[in-house]
Amino acid sequence: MKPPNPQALDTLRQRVRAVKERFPKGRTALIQALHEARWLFHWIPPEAVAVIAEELGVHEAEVREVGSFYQYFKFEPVVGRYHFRICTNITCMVNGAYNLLEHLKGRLGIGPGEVTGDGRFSIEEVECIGCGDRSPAILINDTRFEGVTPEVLDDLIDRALKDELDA
Amino acid sequence: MSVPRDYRPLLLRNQGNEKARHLDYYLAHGGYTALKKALFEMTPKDVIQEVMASNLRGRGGAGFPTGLKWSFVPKDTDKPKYVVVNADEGEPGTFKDRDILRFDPHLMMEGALIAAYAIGARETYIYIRAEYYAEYRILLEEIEAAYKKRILGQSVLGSNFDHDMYVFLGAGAYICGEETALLESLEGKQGQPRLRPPYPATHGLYGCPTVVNNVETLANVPFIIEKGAQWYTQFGTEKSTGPKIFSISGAVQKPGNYEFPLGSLTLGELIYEVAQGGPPGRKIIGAFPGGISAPVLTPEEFDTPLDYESLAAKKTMLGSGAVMVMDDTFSPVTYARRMVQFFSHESCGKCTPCREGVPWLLKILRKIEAGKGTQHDLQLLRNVADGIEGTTFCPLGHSAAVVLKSFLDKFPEAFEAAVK
Ligand SMILES: Cc1cc2nc3c(=O)[nH]c(=O)nc-3n(C[C@H](O)[C@H](O)[C@H](O)COP(=O)(O)O)c2cc1C
Ligand code: SF4
Ligand code: FES
Repeated sequence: MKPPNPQALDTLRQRVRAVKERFPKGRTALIQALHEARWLFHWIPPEAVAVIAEELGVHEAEVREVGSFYQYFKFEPVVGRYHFRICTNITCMVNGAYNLLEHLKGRLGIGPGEVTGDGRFSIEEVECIGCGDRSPAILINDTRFEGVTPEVLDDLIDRALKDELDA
Repeated sequence: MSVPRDYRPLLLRNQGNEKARHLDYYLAHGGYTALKKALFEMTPKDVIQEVMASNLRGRGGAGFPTGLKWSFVPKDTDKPKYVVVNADEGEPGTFKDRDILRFDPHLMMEGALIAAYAIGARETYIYIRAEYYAEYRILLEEIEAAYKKRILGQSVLGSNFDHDMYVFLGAGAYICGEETALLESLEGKQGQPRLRPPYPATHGLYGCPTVVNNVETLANVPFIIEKGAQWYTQFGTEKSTGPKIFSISGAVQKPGNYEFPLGSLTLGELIYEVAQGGPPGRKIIGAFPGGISAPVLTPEEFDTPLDYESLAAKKTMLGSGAVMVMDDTFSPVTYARRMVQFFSHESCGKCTPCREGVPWLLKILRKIEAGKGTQHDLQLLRNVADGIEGTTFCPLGHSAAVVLKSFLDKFPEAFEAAVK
């Protein structure tokens, strides 16, 4: 893993400062700061942990301890440029989510918790994402896609491969 | 009973209208008049009395009376007070708050402002789940718009009431929907539930008096204040008043959010008439009537009216109002396994019965599902569930056990067949 570029770390520093201004009380800013890191790096690299710890005046260990409680923050490079969150909870399961997950695994050649060699794709099996009215549903990064079929999935992957996917 | 076809929705009046979320639209359609009425014509005490008289009960799952909750906040304190909006909506099958946030966010914001005025809070924090990033963006925009129109900030609508509102994005943890875990998370900690009492009303955010309310609960408040408790109680039953959004999904042809007065239709009417029943060729075998934490009901029990009391009488609950319908695509064993998998995945690890017991249930269920289970495993499943029930620190682990037992009780043949 090559270290994140200094410019991005600088951007993170600015954004963490803004977060601290918005949430000055207690340690409230911490989780929002971790989102800022996630939005920049997908996962939370040690260099980002250091920036957050420094700006918020908490220990790096604390940043990790709190952050690792939450599924959105990964302190290992297990998140690709396009992170697929596939819901398999009851409603999506009834509507074909397991087929979708199998299809995705086959297409990308990876399983949940893994990243493709080029760092482009990763998969996570998740709980209900609040889209039961148009299930099965998935999230790619923070963008939701609903009523997803294997064909739709193929199209999303093809677009991601061409960097034409807005997610 | 029959489906009240002529009922006109209040909370979902703008469903599908993408323009309605904007402040201009809201103001042009009478928005913030309830807040104005509260600020200029009512004392905080009047507001609490009105909400108490409406009998509004929390829509987040527990059904606690809202006015009563507000009345627990101490009046004579030097500490700052807070309103916290629970927009975590993590209960599987639930997507009702999402539509309020998407199509009528100001309705919830107005409710939160009225709550804040009633308890004397200077700040509101909205805790929204990370999966609702789109709605998070909507909230940021609409809050900014409200500041520009002086609905937020100093001297709200020209009154001497000041208020600030913030949005906090959760980070993927179902347990953070539980109000004390939510407060921990909001304080930048791991989201583990707190020991209660003390309750948030006295010791909430940063140890200060705090009211935590669900999005849908707060969306009811402007109607109660504007039109009065007496008008409001025309909807629903005597004990379960007001409208309720039902999110119905799974094995139905027309899944979606539907709003009806509480107790005005049965579970079966919602499933077979409103949502038009299961897809052709598939057989409905049961449903979770109030989210995944609500013990399941079989079709023979679908004649139960959708209100707090009727569902409690069937040893289940209205919960969040999310109906997830199961069909014969999978066996009850698989549905039970997936349900327990959810609780196992979301256990926060604080107490032993849940942290150790629920994954154990999952392990046994996986074995049975794979056809490798024995009679002994079935008995073990029940014993472990009995050991978890009633012994956990918060309702999460307990729910896994009681919902599993509802599967064992209602689908005995399927479980017996799976261990043959
Ligand atoms: C495990 C668990 C998860 C919960 N998740 C939610 C949730 O996602 N949204 C919500 O509003 N309430 C949730 N609740 C209920 C809250 O603890 C609390 O009762 C509610 O926010 C109070 O608001 P209300 O009175 O307006 O319903 C959950 C409770 C438990 C035990
Ligand atoms: S029951 Fe489960 S979720 Fe609740 S406190 Fe115990 S370990 Fe945490
Ligand atoms: S079960 Fe998949 S979005 Fe709710």
